[in-house]
This record gives sequence, C-alpha cells and structure tokens, in this order.
Amino acid sequence: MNRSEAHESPRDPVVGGVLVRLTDNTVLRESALATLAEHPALTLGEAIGEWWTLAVEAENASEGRDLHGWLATVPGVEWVEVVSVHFVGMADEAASKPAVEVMA
Amino acid sequence: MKTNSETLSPNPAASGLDRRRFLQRAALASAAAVAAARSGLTPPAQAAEPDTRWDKAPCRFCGTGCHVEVGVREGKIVGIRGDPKAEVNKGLLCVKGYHVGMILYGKDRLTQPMLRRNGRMEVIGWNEAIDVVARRIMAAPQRFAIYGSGQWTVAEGYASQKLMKAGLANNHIEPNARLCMASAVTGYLSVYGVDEPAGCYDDLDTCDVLILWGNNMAEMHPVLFSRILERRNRGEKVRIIDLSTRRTRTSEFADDYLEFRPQSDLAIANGIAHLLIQSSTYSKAFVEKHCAFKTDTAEHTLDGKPMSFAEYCRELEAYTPEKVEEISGVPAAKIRMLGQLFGRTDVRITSVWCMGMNQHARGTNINRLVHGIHLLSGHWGRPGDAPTSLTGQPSACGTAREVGTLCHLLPGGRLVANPEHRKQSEQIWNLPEGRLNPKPGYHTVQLFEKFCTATEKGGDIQTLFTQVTNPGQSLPNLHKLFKSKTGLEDKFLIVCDVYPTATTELADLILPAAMWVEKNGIYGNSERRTQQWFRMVRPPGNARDDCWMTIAIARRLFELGHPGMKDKDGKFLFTFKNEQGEEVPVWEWERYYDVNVDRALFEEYRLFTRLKHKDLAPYDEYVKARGLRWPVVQQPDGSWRETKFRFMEFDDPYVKKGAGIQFYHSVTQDDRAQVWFAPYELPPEVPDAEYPFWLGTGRVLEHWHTGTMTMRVPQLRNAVPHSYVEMHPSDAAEKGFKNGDLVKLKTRRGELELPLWISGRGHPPRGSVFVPFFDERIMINDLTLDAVCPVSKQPDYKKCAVDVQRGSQRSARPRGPTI
Repeated sequence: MNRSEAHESPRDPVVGGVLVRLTDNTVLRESALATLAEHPALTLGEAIGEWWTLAVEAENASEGRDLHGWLATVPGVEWVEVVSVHFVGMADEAASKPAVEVMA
Repeated sequence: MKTNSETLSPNPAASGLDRRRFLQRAALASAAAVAAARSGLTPPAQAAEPDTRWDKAPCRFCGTGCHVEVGVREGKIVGIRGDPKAEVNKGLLCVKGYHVGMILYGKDRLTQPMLRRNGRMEVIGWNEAIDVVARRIMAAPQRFAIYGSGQWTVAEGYASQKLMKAGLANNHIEPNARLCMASAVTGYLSVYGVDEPAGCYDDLDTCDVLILWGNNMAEMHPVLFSRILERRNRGEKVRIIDLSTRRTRTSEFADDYLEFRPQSDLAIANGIAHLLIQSSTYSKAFVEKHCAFKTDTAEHTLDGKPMSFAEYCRELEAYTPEKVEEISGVPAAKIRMLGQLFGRTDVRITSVWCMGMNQHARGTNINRLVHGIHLLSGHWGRPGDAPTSLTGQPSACGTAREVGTLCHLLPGGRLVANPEHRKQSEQIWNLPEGRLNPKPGYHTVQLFEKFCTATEKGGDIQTLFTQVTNPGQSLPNLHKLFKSKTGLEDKFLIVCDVYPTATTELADLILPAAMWVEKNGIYGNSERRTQQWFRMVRPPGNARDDCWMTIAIARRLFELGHPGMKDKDGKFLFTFKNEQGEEVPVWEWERYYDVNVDRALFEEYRLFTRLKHKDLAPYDEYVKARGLRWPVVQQPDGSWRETKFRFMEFDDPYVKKGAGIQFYHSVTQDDRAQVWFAPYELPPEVPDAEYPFWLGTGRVLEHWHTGTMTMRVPQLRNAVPHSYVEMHPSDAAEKGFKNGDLVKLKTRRGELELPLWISGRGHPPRGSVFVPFFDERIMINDLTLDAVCPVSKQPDYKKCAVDVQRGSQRSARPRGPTI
C-alpha cells in the first residue's frame, strides 16, 4: 500500500453551506428556485443581496461532489460557491495508527 | 422538500433533534454570513452551537492567506467555514480550504519518534531523540544544516534561525521557499532595495486590466481570482490578459490568451518597453522623478551595472514586435496591444505572477523586467497600478523572507555579510561581539549537493534536519539531489513531519510533529499580512510542536556544554519567563504551554522588523485582527495602523511629506527605483532530436504541493487521484497515443511512466507536455532540471527537454479531476 493510500475514503456524511447566484431572468429564476427547493438533499435558505443560501447534505464525499456539480448545471443557476463544510463524525473516524507499522 | 422554517433548539442534544439537522442550520447561517459580508450588509448572528467552539486561523495551504473559522467539538475539528470578517477572502474558501480540517486526520499520522537501527525504524522516546540530534550537532557543528519551509510559523522559523545563526554561528539554514519565491525576492531587492510587494490584494479590486504572467490564478489562487470574477459579475469591466505557456482554467476567463515559448517572457517584457520608448508613451515625469537605470552583466549579480537612459533605449532597439514574435511565438499585433495598453494613462494595470516567473532560469531578470515596464510606463503608485508577486506557501513571506531563514539573511532584512547588520543582530540577541558568521551558508541546491556527496569527496554537510517540508519529492533532479544520499553511511537525515513522505523514506530519525491548529502559530501571507492563531486541538500520540523541538535541542546542546547556547551574560538563548518573572523550562514538553512561547519569540523578533520599515505590531494586536499588513505603525491615539500601499505618501507613514512617491530603500540612495535591462537568453536546456518536447511542471487546484496533506483528504484525493501527463491531441495522434495510455517520459536525468490525459483541464501547445508534482507515486522531479537562476539560486521547474514514448506497462484509464 502506498503511504497516501493509508487513509481511504470514510463514509462520512457531509453538510455544506453553499451560496448560489441566480439569473435575472424571472422565469428561469423561479424555475431554478423550484428545482432547488424540491431536491431532498438541499435546504433552501434566504436571499441576501444577490445570493441565495443553501445547506447541502450528502451521504458521503462522492455524493457531495456530484451535488456540487449538479447545482452548477441547474438552468438559472449562474454561480455556486461552497463556504463551509461540517464533517459529521469525520473526526471520530480518524484513528492514529502507529506510524511504525506504516514504516516497517 | 425541506425548508429553513423549522425552529431548532440551540442545544440539539437537549431537544433530541439529530445533529445533522442542526448542522444544516449552521451551514445556512455560515452561508448567510458570507452573503451578507459580500453584499456589504451586517452579517446575521451565527447559529449557536453550544457544544462546538469556533475560532479563527489562516488556512494551512497557499500564500493567499484566507482566514477560516475552525469548529472544534470534543477535541476534534468538526467544521470549517470561511471567515466573513477576513478581508482577504470575505468568507470564501477554495475546495482545499473547506477541507482543510481533515488534513489532521489521516490514519497514518506520525505519532512517535523513530530511529533507524539496522535498517529498520524503531520507536524511541523523545529524550533519546533530542539527545541523538544534539550529539550529532556537537560532533560537527559546522557540518549540520537545517532545511525548513514557508510553512514554518514565524516563531518556528525564528527559533531555528536563532539556534543556527546566533547559537551555532552556522548559516547553513534554508527554507524550501528558495524553490518557490527566491527570484521574486531578488527582483524586489534589485529594483526597490527592499523585499515584498508595494501593493496588496486591494489592487485586484481597483485594476482595469489584470495581466497574469505565467500565473494560473484560477487554480493556484482561486479565492483571489474569485475577487476579479466577482467584479465582473457586478458589471465592472476588468480585462484579463493571460500570458502563459499552456492553456489553463485561467485562460477560459481571459479576454486575451497569449501563448509564449518557454523563457521568451523576457523578450515580451523587453518588447513592451521597446514600444513605450518608440512611441514616447512612457511616463517621462515618473521616470525623471523616480527611476534610475541598470543592466544585468555577464556575472549576473544582484547589483548589476548602472546605465544611462540613452543606453537603456539602445539595448531595447532590437526588441521590435516582429523580433519578439520570432522569439516568443506571440503575434506582433498582440505585443503592440500590450505596448499600447501600458502606454495608456486612463487604465490601471496590475501584473501578477507566481511560479511561472520565479521558477525560471532567469527568474530575477524577468521579475526586474516586469517591475520595469510598470515603472517606465508610470503604472505604479496608485491602487490598481501595481506589479505584485503571489506566493505558494502560507508563510513564505512571513517566515522565509521576513524572519530571514535564507542562508544569507538575518531577521528583518539584515544580511550576514554586512558587519553593521551583524552588530545590530548581536545586540538584539545579546551575543558576544563577533559571534555571527559573516559567510553565507549553502543555498538549497548546494546544500543538498553537499549532503548527498560523500564526505571524502567534499560533501561537508553530514547531518541535515528538515522541518515542515518534503524535499524528497519537491527538489528538482531528485536522483542527484536527494536519492544519492542512499548508502552514504556518515550522512544522517532527521525528518520532522506529520505523515510518512518521500523524505521520511531516507530518514535516519523521524520526529512526529504537531500541525496547524494543533499548535499556536503566526503566518505572513503574500500581501505583507501577518496572521495569528491559537492551538485548538491536541496533536495525536507523542507528536509535538516544531518550535519545542528546536528549543529542546538547543537546551540539550546547552547541557552538553556548547558555548554558543549562551548569550554574553551566560544565559540560555531561549529563556522565557512567566508573568511572575519566573523562568519557565519550556524545553520540558509538559511545561511548553505554561507560557505563550510564540508571543515571547514574536516580541523579540519585532525588534528586528523596525530596522527596515517592516514594523510589526505587538502580538496581542494580531490576536484581535484577521491579520495586519506591515509596516504597522502606532498612531498618536495608541492604536496600530497597517499599510496597504508602500512608498506612497497617501498611505505609507515612512514617505516624506510632499514626496508623493518615495523609494526610501533605493539601492542608489536617491529615493529612485531601478529600471533594469536584461536580454532574452536561451534556457539552459532546449528540446533537440533526442529529447524533442518541452516538459513543464506545476500544481492542480485540488492538491497542495507534494500532496502530503491533500492526498489524505478523501474528497481531494478522489477528485484528482493520481498524476498524469497533459499533451496536445495532435502530438498524441502522431504518436498513436490514446487518452489513458501509459507513456514514458525520459529526460537526461531519469524516466517515468504515467497516464496520458488529452484535452483535460490544461492544454499544452504542440511540442510540450505538462505534469503536476503532487503525486508521490509518480515523482516528476526525478526528471526535472536543477539549473538555477544565477542571482536567486532558484531552480527552473518549468522547462527542460523530454522525450515521450509509449510506456512498457499495460494501458490504464486515468480518472480526471471532477470538481
């Protein structure tokens, strides 16, 4: 096993805070808001300035990445930025494996 | 559908609500805070999380200096959010930044000191480990060297500097920053007489034109690039000109993409200056009042040779747009466009660069030339009109440059070779007169050559102590500069790190380190901003602070009778007292946090910073702030004021009243900056029949440097799981390669097989390939060239000659980046 493979992907849920900016086109904008509101992994927050706030909940890192990618493809969404990540249970997963075993 | 209208108790445990729901609300609150900060509104109060404590810290990765808020629960990091109070990032983070908390939790953290005995690493205690180091030093103090980094905190770098230069009178100390920004340093020194940018990130908010000189800002400094894109999104017009040797993600956002042949940026800069002179659009008033002229010489020194303006103009005559096109491949019309742009007075131009100009066989010269066209054109001295270098490490400026952990420096811009500077330093350190060694130590490439050469053949570095860096992967020409240590029995490598790395593979002694928020720290970012944080979690196992190790080694040397560990009054060099005035034996780990060692070392270091107008405020000011940009000067009311724009009267308190602009560290001592001429010169190695391609190396968004930390974050690792080689589709088709084929790269220094990625994120032009260096399994630095800039001694990782052939192994389809 390579050194950097020693920590493989844990199945940790991830909750992220996300900002999206929507188009000025009213029809597309309403459609985008409806799409976001319907998605089971998203919690739509408030509009502040030009931004809408979202909480994104994913079962694991891969799903989180896919969701991030999907958000950018929603018609009417012009910009997506992640601003926070909570690692639910991630720290508990971490174990300090005696380094000498790795080195042997 | 979920909404945000549910009422949640501030205490999720008490209410019985599951933690995830609570975190959803916290995530929304974080997003709202950032949105408000970016919209100029008052941020709403963050959701109360009684079981989670949030505190500030600068991000652990690049030199941008974003601030994060770190959430800690039950001794573990559980969340990261962008800090909306931070001017640098205004709450935003890049993909690495919002995963930064996870770098602490790789399962293979080093947790015990280990000593190689009979070819195997054995766990030993700290007392023995420190004793081994001290006895190696005692045996041959002048054959000992320290190699640290721009990831050293200010206190760590300062303590190492003091141990070596003040204690051992040994200048063989270098940071890995020699590999990443030394050419920027020599550029600033030879132009302004003092290091580091005059401007700051505010220039990005006010420029009309942003010129990226070989800088893939969208991937390497994404939060800064976001500031520009954000301005565009608000409807402001910002023209981006991307000068590069390969199309990158940055190019996608550029108004103009100008692709040049490696090293020909020298010709392009001269071509711009040529046009300014020919069209008389240079700023005569600025030049007459603020500039002098110099030329590089055959000896390539920092000082060069003075020249007249007429001589300068004559040297530039050859650099017609057509000639520059011939050299660079950039159409003459585009060179004219650049010349005309710099000739305009109605636009503000900011030039930005990083490794493209620094890791360059003529790195100092290209830095000088870019400063020169700004000075010549008068695009200097207003917010938005600035030549500004960026850095790749979080404290390349703060620790490597300001603390002066390079082999020729003392803290505060002092030089070991200058008798007056040594005297000042000896006074601050209370050393006997003459203690400091006037001879600069070995620069990084020399240092590793000496370490990897047999003692009987002149390899006079026998013990090397590395901290916070991974030279076994990041040095160029690794077979020569690192791997040839193998089998040299009298050489001893001490590696202090947080994970096993390519460097620990050859270590004789491994010391497990605390990292980032497992210790107190201070960093200094690219814009002269000094940033402080406190320890938030404990390191795993027996890992300990790097700074403690340095002090413990010094103390053991003191106990063994090394005379250099005492000041002129016989006191130990690292003496710390508590508030009651009692000495605290911080070399005992259990007592290390009885006083704030960072604070004490910082206050001592501050004395140096005033010697070259790099004044720092008291430590406690940084506790309150999200960083302050030096010089930080006390005001009549007792408050401390930072400086955004140096040498400019409207902001810099050291500029004489009425001067407007004053280069008060001018090397000609007449308050003038130097405009340099330096010719285009061929690179040290160019493609030929045997090695017909250019090889360039660099980074990717998701991984930071050698990947030691980011490859242990599953999200980042999965996004870009391994290295690859980028190639132009036509070159690949000619060779019969398909996407995913394993190909063999071969240079005069080594060979390597790796998967091919055609039409991926980066697009090299025909005749060149690009490989990132983050992957320890595919170490591209086995192949790179160790030629250095003759002035800065920084290696050129961006160009050498390579052959590309089909690999011997079976094909494997790589997975490209997905974020």
